[in-house]
Amino acid sequence: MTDSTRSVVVTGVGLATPLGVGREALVEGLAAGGSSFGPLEGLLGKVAPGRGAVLDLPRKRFKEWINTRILRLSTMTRQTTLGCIAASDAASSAGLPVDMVSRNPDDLEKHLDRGCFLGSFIVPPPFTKQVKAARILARRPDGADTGWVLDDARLAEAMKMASGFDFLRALPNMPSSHLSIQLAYQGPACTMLGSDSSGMQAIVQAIGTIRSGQANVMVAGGAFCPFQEVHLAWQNHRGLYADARASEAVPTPFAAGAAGTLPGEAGAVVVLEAREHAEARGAAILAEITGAAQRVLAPGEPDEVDVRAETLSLAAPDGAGWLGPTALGQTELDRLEAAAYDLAFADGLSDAAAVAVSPAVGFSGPAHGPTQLIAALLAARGDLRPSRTAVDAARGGAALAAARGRPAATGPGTTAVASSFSIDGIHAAVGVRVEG
Amino acid sequence: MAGVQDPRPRVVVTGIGAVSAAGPDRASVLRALKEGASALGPIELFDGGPYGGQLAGEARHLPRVAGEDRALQLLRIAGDEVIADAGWGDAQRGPETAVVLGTCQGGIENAKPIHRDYLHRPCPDADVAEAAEHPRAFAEYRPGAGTTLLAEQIGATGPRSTVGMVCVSSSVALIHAIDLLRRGEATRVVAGGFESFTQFVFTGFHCIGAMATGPLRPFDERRDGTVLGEGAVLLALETAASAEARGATILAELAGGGFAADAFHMTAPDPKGGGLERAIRQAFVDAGVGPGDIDYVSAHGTGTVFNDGMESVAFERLFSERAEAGRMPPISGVKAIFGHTLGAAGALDAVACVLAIENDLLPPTAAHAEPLRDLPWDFVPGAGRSTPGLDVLLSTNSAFGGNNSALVVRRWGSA
Repeated sequence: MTDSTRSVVVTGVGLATPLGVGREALVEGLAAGGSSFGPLEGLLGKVAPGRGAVLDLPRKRFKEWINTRILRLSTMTRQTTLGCIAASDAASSAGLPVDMVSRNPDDLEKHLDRGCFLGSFIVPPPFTKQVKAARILARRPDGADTGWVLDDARLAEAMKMASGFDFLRALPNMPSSHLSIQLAYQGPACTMLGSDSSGMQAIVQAIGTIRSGQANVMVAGGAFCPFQEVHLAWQNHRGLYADARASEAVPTPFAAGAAGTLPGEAGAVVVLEAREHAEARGAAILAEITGAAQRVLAPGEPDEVDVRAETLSLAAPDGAGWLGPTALGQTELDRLEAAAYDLAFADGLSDAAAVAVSPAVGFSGPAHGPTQLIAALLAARGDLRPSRTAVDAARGGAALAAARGRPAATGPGTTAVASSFSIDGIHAAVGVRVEG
Repeated sequence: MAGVQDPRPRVVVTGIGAVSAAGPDRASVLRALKEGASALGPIELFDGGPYGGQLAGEARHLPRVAGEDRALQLLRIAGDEVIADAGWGDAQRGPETAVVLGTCQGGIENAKPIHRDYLHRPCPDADVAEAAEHPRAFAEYRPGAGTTLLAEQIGATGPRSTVGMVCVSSSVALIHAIDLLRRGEATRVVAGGFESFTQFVFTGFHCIGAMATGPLRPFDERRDGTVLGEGAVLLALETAASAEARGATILAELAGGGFAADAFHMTAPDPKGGGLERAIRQAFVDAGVGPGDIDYVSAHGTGTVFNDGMESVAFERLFSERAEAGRMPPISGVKAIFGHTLGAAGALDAVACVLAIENDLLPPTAAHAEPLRDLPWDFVPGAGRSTPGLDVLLSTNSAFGGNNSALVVRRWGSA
């Protein structure tokens, strides 16, 4: 039964970003004001922008967060892996069991009311075997290029290389399915695919799922790895990326000289819980959800800023002390976003502070919005003190630019809002109020 | 819930758009259900010989349009039909109309030329130039592109979302749509799913040994795999108040839904069907019905050994009292007719239920002769069966990764 007034709280956050795993890595990284960008290796280094932010974590350490007795690392895509690490981190921070190896029926019974919503994005991962197979299939005996066309004579040879698991791991539901298997959550599971805002959409949808009574606990957020040649080329084609080949540039959101963003990978999830459920188990409540909304923009239409502002106002009806805008560092997108924040919060912006993760970890598509939400929440709690960033805001976005890294109120009662938008025109925003 | 007035807005179906192997519209789906004639045939998109000559449910009646992604082509046609069928006009355009779609691989066909270039030029130094060669392909490549294009086609500027849950994609999309309407975030929603038959996906299913060597035989002891199909299936949903206010014909009610995870294994379903049973029980609670109310079950019925076996175990437990009393509801799997349309499958099964109610017709299980485990259940073999009194119907789906969904479709006015 839908109860739109049911209080939903955040009891945990989980992160796997280029700064490291866990909230401490984000807190320390943003406080230090550094960045995680480095040159990409191999073929990826030849695709613009040639640089990006990668979680540098030895594969053998994955087992610290992923139960390899029930999940195979070799059959997980990078984004599924990042999602599982973040989910494990989030569950742990919420004081929830990280995995249920025993699959004890009595324990599993407790997980019927828990689910996983994850925003991701279909990007064919580096199908090493498939690429080899496809090359074989595309090569006619006479050597002529024929495109992706099966050559009957070479099919058997190619099939020996292609594994069914390579196909299965790329199915779009695998990110959320792996989370549900990892955590033994037997309630609703869903992968949202919209595009860059799908991680925030997953959180919005998960809040609705708790309010509709379908679940008491939802792990929700986004996970994405953009390091695939075709995806990088596409985003570069959109004009999203800075040309970082010849420089050490990092994204500079809302700055006059903003030249674009850089790709980064991440998994970022929050643990959402019905208040009465959290209180009954004695969980530490980080914040309460003040609002969650998604609205659709008609790109280029006059009301574009209005719709974005409406979404923000619905998420943070009482304003926000801390802001987590997308903050890409791409001039036109920054301008639109700044105008929306101006319209939504007006004079309130002069007292608000903003946190932007893109200068440190880049843009991780569906995981970016949830990462921003977590950063804003931690800042509002006083756990995260982002370094002050001097920004020349001569070309617009003055209020948001001035708010970047500014000290602001923290602690119980402090509000925060984060937002995410996508090429599809979907704008999603979530607001929180810090609890003690 | 008996005796308690449910205060939530009721969600009704007022239009259908359906493109499938059986034809380009809902009438062709109904005809196929009546006749029980399989629309599956030899693969035409590519040479199926090297794979063992399997069948496919290709929409052969629709020529491929050069330059247009096949999945988006199917979706566009279904989009036109669903709006016309629902009688939506300018008054239904705008922010109160939402779009929620499910798909497995979306416009994956558009990826072919892109990947071909990268495969042939593995060091894409001139990536910007290459991207410029495929501007449309890049734009339509994303799974969310279908949702965006359909929203623009029908003038929907309300919420949009795209569900990527493989075989339960469109049934979960329908459940999300119900939630949107109940929460008042939209007055009407076009929801469903789309999928094209592609060599990429076929090869993947072939690699995992999931393809049938012959006909798709749901719930048959001889079943040995599935047959892929293609289609776009959309339902126009709106609140009952909205439909009644404009004097629309209400085809059926989407009374409730549920979805649950096995949390068991990446590929194998929970052999006990625990996740499916939970999804169904959740749908029952949501709809305010019980096992004793169900008049028919449109099952996932992929024809694979594991799926149909799992489903039968879940149904056996769920309907145990009725089974013991010899009153199991009829169960059928329409994929034997249309093939497994993946992202569109859940919506197609839901449409089969709506058409069943509208036409007093039990959808059949084509190519079914030997019930699995010799179960004495009515799998409705052969052709569709004229059956009045189909009031409360259940539609179920399951997917790799252990995702399960259930929808309760009810005759409008029967509750």
